[in-house]
Amino acid sequence: MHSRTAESLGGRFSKVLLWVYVVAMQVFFLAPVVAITVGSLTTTQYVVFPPKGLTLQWYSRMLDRPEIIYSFLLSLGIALGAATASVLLGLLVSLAIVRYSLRLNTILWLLVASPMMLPTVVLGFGFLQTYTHLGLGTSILGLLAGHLVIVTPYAFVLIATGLRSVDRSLEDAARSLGASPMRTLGLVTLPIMFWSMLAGWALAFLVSFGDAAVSVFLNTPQVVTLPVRIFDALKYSPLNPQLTAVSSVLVLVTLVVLVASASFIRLERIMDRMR
Amino acid sequence: MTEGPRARRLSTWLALAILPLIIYGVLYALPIYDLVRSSFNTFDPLKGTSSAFQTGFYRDFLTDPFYLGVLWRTVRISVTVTMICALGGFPMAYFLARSESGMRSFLLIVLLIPLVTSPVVVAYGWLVLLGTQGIVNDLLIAAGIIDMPVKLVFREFTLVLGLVYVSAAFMVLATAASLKNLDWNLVLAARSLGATGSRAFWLIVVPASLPGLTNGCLIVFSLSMSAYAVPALIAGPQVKVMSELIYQQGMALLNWPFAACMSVILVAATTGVLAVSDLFARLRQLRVAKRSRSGDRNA
Repeated sequence: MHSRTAESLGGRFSKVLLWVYVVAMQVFFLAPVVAITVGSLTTTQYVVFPPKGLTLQWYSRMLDRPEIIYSFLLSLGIALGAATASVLLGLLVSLAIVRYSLRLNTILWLLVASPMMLPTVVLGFGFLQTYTHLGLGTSILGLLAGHLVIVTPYAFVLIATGLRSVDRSLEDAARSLGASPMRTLGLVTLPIMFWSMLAGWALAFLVSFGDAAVSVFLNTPQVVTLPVRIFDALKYSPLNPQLTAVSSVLVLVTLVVLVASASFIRLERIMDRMR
Repeated sequence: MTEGPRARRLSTWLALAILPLIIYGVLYALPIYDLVRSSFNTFDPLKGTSSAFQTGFYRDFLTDPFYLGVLWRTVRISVTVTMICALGGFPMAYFLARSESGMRSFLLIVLLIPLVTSPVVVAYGWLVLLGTQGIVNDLLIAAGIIDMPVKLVFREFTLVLGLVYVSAAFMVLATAASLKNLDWNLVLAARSLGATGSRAFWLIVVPASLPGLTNGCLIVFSLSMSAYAVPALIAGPQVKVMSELIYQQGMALLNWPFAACMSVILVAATTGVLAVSDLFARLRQLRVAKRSRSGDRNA
């Protein structure tokens, strides 16, 4: 198939055009992220891209701001907790839905997949209302609960596709050789679908780590996640280079998780299954 | 696997599903129920919320030109964003589906960056790029298009740009997934039978992309209707959308029933537009099917 790429639809001119377009799109997709990370190196007192001069002072000054360090650790902790719990929940739901054809699965599916389709602001506001009544409203626990609800659908969708792609005959072979259902799950099924659990974890982590729309409702004056801190600060002093440094820390963590998980799993597999 | 008796299957299913059911029941279904229920409550700025069953907030919203204007703007912007993504994303999807594996991995990572980066950071990035001192103004001046820096942020088209940025990749991925399934031999056959490139494109490639394109439109439209951080940061106070109204009512004015009412309206409007467009698509399909049947008879 690849060698036939040359036999595409248009002539030489349209092929050049397509390439120009693709490069332009790459620039478009990278532009704001590059502006933030590279812009944070400026020596000027205001944000400018391209930066004037190069310095890391905005990063070192960040260490003197304990509230920013706290927000960073809070976001990291919540994302780690929510992502890990979402993979466990997603695995349970996937096993129930993929391996059992019961009517009840419709309810389970609606319950676990639908948060992905609702506006995050609506969810955030709903969480605030109910969690306040439940006594979870103004605590880290409420924040964690809200994040868990919004990220689990992502983990679930990926894990369910992973589970569907497992060849059942391999499991049958293990069972017929005397392995218990649990042993079969642990030694055959899970290792084969491990990539999807990793992908699900990474996506859940990233969604939680970057979320502002739900957190903005569940934050308290003391408990503020990093994106919300940036969000609030942007309203008052958008051109403070300090803020770009904080933002690019967020970008760096995102990129590390993205590239690390992409090198473990073949990304194309996700595209193949996105049907 | 051996088919156990029905009761045993049910109990294993329950063992798997009980924890998710409880967690989602309490942490998700309950808030949604509360949300819908509280939209019928009454609110008094001094006394706060009291339980009731009245539809006053819905009436207020649906008769006030300001609120209707915001809803209309939200729908209009979302439709614009969806169309731009569909048209602008198509060549990218085509390229992705046809490119070689190594190239594709790189493209996919770049494509995923807007999806996984915090929308707050993305909005900030565009503010820096589009500001009066930003590189876009510099380039426009250098190209001689403008003489002085122009105000690019806090406008409706800035919002459209930001929303296209955060959701374009969904459209590209969905469309590319459909195009990857296309048997390229069909195109080669059409070409060898004398079809021009553009004819083969319109008759084979475009129809093959439609399932993914439709999915993409659905995702992009819903995302644009509900985006919060991007509009709040780059649209400015003049260009308000529904999600900002909800936040304002709920958090600044503490009018929870009205915020709940607007949440219900936002979800209903999103679903409504999608349902109507689905209906149109079905009708068109029906007409096309009818036409092709009558075409068969003529032949």
